[in-house]
Amino acid sequence: VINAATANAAYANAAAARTAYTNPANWITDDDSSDATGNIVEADWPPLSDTNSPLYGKAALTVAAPTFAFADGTAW
Amino acid sequence: MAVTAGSVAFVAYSYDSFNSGMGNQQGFAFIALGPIGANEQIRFVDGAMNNKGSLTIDSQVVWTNNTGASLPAGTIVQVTFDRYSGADSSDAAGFTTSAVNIGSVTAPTALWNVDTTDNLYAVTGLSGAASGTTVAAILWGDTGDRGITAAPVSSTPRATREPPTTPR
Repeated sequence: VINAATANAAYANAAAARTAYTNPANWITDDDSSDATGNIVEADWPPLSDTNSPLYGKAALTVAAPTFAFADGTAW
Repeated sequence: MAVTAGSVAFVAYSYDSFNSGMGNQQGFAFIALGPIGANEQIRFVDGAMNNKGSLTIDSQVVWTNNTGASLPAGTIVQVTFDRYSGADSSDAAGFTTSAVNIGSVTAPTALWNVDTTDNLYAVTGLSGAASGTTVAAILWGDTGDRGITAAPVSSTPRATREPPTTPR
């Protein structure tokens, strides 16, 4: 499962999110001390309902669509 | 929006095989990186792919966005396989039922049992050996991007749970 920092980050666009989610360094195993609670016994599965999972309780992560503006800052 | 390469990314998986003490389950979760239109479908394959994108299928399921609306970017879809057919982690056994938190998912076409010799593919081709476009992948058995139609969508993350005690 992706680690808590990656799960909780807000990505400005799909490309940035994809880069983070597909980086093996941003994944943890169920006994990894860097997971949500540091519990080395409980498994992180199912990831949305296991309290030890960085994705616990989440329905979505923050992946924003690209936003556009003119060079002077005026909204697109 | 139609599903294409990079439309989703995997954010979790389990290839835990039968273990009577831990509540055996396998599955995966993916996130929509852009809106996924109503009635869009993705096939998930437990197996392998050759250099030409032809799939060797151990098992597969097809997920459908049957919610009647577009799924927004960021939505997490979790697919679980909960019912193990065998009494141990032998290659002859696997998971027979599937469930999903959003949309619908078909039952596995055969015993679902991803392990370290397999890969997990999300593809647009909904049946047969032809993969169509590779939407995302997790690679263990062969970490070369053979046959995958877009390089940025694959990864080789570590396991969520321990590998089967009797990997094939």
